[in-house]
Amino acid sequence: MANNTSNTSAVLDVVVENKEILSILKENKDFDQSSICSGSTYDNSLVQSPSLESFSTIHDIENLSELNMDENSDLCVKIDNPQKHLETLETYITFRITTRVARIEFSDNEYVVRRRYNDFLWLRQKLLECHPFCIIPPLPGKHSLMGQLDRYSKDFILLRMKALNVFITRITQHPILSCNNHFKTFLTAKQSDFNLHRRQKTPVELKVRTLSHANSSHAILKNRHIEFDKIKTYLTTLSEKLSSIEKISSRINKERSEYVTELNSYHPIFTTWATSEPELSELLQNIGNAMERSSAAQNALVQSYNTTVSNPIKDFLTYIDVVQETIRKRESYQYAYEISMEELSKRHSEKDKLLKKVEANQDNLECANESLRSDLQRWQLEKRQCLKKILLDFVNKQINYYQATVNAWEYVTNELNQQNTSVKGNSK
Amino acid sequence: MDANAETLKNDIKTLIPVKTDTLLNHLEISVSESEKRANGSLNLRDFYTVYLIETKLTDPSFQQKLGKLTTVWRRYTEFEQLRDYLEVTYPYIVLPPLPEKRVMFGWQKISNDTFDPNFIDRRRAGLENFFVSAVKDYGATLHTNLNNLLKARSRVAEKQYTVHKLHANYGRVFSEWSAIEKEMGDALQKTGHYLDSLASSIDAGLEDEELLADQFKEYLFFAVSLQNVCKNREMLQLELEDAEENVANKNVERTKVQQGKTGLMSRLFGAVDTDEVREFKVNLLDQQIQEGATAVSTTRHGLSDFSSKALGDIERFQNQKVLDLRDTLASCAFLQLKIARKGLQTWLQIRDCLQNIP
Repeated sequence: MANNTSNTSAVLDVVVENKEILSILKENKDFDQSSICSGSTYDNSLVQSPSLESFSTIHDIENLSELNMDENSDLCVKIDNPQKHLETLETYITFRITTRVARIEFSDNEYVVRRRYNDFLWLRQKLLECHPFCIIPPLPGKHSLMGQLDRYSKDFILLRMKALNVFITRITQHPILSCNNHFKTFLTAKQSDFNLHRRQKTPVELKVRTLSHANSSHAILKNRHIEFDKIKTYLTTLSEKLSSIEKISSRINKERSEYVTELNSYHPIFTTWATSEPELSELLQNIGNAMERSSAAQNALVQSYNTTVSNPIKDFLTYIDVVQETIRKRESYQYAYEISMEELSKRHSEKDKLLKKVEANQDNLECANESLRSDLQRWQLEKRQCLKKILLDFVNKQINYYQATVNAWEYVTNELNQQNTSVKGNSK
Repeated sequence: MDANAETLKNDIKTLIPVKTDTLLNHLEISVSESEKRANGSLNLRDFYTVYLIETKLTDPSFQQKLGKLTTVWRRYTEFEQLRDYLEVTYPYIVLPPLPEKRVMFGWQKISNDTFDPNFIDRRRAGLENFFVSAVKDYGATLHTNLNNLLKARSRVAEKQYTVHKLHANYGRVFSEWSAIEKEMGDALQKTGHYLDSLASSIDAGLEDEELLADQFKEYLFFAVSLQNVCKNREMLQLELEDAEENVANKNVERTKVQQGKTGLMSRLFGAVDTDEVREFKVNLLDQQIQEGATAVSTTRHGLSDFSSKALGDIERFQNQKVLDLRDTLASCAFLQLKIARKGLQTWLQIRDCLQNIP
């Protein structure tokens, strides 16, 4: 048993050790690769799956196409099958992660593991440390607006699962991030191995550097970097515009909802009236029905608002925030460089040492600039596709509603036209 | 009996509006007299009452569409058959009731005899009422339906307007957004313009709809007119009842005077009419009774006349109404289709724009 010098509480360690013993005992028991059945276990914890049975597979998610999964690429990752785990100290949800890969670095072609939200947090942190000037996609929030109250509600879990899929897909499509070792471990390691890997210490150097630079990010730079400043301004404006669009859409949706209510009081009047008008009965019924169909179609439009517009836009706004943050990180490097330049000009005696420092900082800065620049370029492409998709989804929902309404009223008018032609025929 | 029922049904078909080809004739209808008849052999002595239905053609241009118009004697059971037929054919109509078949809720003064002249006369009036109260119910129904429709429509129109106008806000934002984008700029600009046009397109549609609403309003007021006609008839009915009651009272008084029963005052003061005075009073009352009976007859004819004219005009109104409302409703349907098509077209154009984003 590894003697942990960790400074975490002894209690926690004991529990973890407990887990490890048991997993060694179960060493020969392979994970059920085709774990469609909910009976699969996650170490020693009690699995409570009956309440989650109903949304066990990814096919229950609306808008599967949202996930942009390209099954033909050389790396494809899918997240589904949430399960609740009851342990002595805590209760938590895990997700099944299925990876299909055709790359040399991976020894197998398919992997199935289970991970929980905290594991995703760890992954993101690692990616940030390894690639400080790549744009690491954001994770869904820890809590919903209701705080911790609805952590286990079906809606919250489904929403989180969808967001995690988006997160993972963005990483798999990133040329640099998808090759990261931690990412590979995350996708492939069995539970016990993964836990070990997680507890590894990160090199102190790397940690310290990112920390200190992060703190100085608010310092004012001597020389503004035009290129990156332009992008910052652009991103701020883009954020504003998307925010406006979401607010407008929300307002329209609210009015539409009231519109549907009024329609539902309106169309029954035609049906009622039809009962006292023998000659007009059919026409009145048709009109009442067409109105009802249109109302139902509009209601579907109203209900789709969150998934089609609100959530995707909010998610993208968080993505923009990440980009802004990454740009600010770069600024801290520039700051360090500028400070060291100042020092150089002030202390001529320690010239050599300081010169080295300046050069080192300059190198760092140049690397940071390059790295960020290239990832921004890549991100711009991704942004375009993402926003295009959001807009198209929004427009398609509108089209569905209007098409249904047109169909409903065409039925009525076709009947009328038929009657007109037959009357004309009779009167000849 | 079956042959009679058949004739009855055939006659009815000419009176009830038929869907497409025949318009209803302009007729006056009245149930004016009654007669007692006997049925079958002398053994059975089955008596029954028949009522005379008179129809008069007031619109000569319909002469050829009618068969021979005759006056017709119908008994109560045949009215029942008519009502059964109507019940089956128009199950959604609230049918007015027929006057009672037997004496219900009777009391001492009211004879149980269905051949009692008073009973028969009341029934005759009741049968005429049958035609007219159907009309009154309809007027109220039409009014309620149109009222509800117009109220609800205006609320719907307001929401439809608001939703469309809000889309103009998109126009501004998309325009500003397109200014900061390179590859997406074009598509976003166009999208903004399309959304603006969507917002402004609703004005024309709702203006057209207001015109249609006016047509519904017209019939709302027609429904009030219809109800007024019924009220007028009711007033005439009351007049008739008053006149009849007057005659009945005079008759009672005459009997009293004849029998020497005098008023309270005279009894108190002990005066008794002489034979001369009595005869004078009786003659006076006879005269009044005669005048009263004439008044009743005149009023009754007036009522009968009114009823048949009213029914005739009501049929005319119904036919016109069907034509007008069918037109208005059809226009409603076409207008909604037009609005929906415009919306669909706009969003399809927006989609095309967005799909051109590289």
